[in-house]
Amino acid sequence: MSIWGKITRTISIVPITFLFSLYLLISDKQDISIGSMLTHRILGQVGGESSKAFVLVLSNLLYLVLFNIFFGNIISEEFRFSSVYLFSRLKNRKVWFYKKASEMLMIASIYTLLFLGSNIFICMFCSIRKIEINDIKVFLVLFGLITMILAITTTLINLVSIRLGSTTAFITVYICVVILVFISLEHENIPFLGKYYYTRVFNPLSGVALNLSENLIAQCIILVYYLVLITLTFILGGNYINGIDIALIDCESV
Amino acid sequence: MHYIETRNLNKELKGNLVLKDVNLNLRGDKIYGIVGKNGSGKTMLFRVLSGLVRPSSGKVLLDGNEIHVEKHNAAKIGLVIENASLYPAFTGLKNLMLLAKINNYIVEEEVRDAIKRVGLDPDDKRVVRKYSLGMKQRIAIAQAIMEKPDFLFLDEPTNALDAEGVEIVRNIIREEAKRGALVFLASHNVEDIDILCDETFKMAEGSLYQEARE
Repeated sequence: MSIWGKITRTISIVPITFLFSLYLLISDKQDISIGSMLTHRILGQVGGESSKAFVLVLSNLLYLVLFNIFFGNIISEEFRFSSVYLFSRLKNRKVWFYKKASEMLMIASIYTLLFLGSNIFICMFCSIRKIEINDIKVFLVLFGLITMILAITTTLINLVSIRLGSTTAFITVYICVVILVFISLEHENIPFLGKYYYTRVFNPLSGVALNLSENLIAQCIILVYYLVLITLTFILGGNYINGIDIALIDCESV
Repeated sequence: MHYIETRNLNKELKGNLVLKDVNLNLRGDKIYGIVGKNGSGKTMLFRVLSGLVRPSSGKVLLDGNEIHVEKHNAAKIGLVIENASLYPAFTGLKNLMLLAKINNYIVEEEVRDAIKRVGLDPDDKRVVRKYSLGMKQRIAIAQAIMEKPDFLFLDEPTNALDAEGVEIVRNIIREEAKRGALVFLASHNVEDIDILCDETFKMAEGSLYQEARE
């Protein structure tokens, strides 16, 4: 993928976000904080007053689907073309993979920044309130959550694509996304897990950090957890790339 | 002088042993050839020697450095094998420049020289998708030689080439061996093996045998 291809795909989220929010820009302004408006635009909410939780809902995942389509082959395309010539030159496949994955993480960060930035602009336009310190905290948590989800899902799609092709990779990863979203929505009804609110934290697709608005330390711990998840995905991906056989023809593939 | 050593090299795929106890000891002052029927394991041997495929057991040493342990490659390798392709939407020069940037051993001028050596025009604006089979083979050889590799593994290098192309490639092989590269080539073309190779092996059902030369 050329550098211009990456730039175009990354910034395309800005006009797409505005396109899908045109109706808001012509609506009356509301007396809601920008942080709340931002959260409700991106996440859904479940539970009563005492057990309120923010979760990802499938209807609000367009930004995720687009990113996966745009960058779901940024690593796997190297295996479709030039893999023989590339991998016969590489001294260390893990280092190559980490560089590719880090590039994708950086693109995910910029994409998330543009996506959230566009949404904040829309929220500022639609709210009579000004930005407060709590809104910035919400922005940072959402930035961490969305970047993590984009990075992990896209890495997994790339890795699965290498062996099974793009279509199977997308289907597999999105089945996992749907299952995790379902578990997040039905958390309280799950035996054993449902009793403990903090076990939600281990589901990467639940926005549990946002429910901890007074507890900064807990939010930081959860953001570190996201970082650990990304690191683990990259390490496992590197080990996988290091071990696979390159350029086997179909009848030879295991 | 470069050398290759393999010790009890085995590779199993889908329950079949495609390489069986291959022991090689090649020294860089000769051109080595390998012959064998389709499916005998020649290409698989080249894939293992070039770091693309990990052996099921055994060792591969290039200039004394074992590969497939910490690193997949320990040396500069030039490789041409079947079913390899370049980015179809890029020109030959752009493809080779992308590959040259991996290790930064050479600059653009040297890439252009390699393309000219195989009889192609480095300023050809056509993308690889529009190349003939012969042109694709030539550009593949250009990518193999452009970084002046220590080891050159060529699988059917004269495939799809016209008479002029065959002569160009044979000269390149001789020049590379003279430069000090260890050249190991596989070919169904008996003439290539007879004219070029100092020593020949035969591959049959994954096993390697030395062929006597008259």
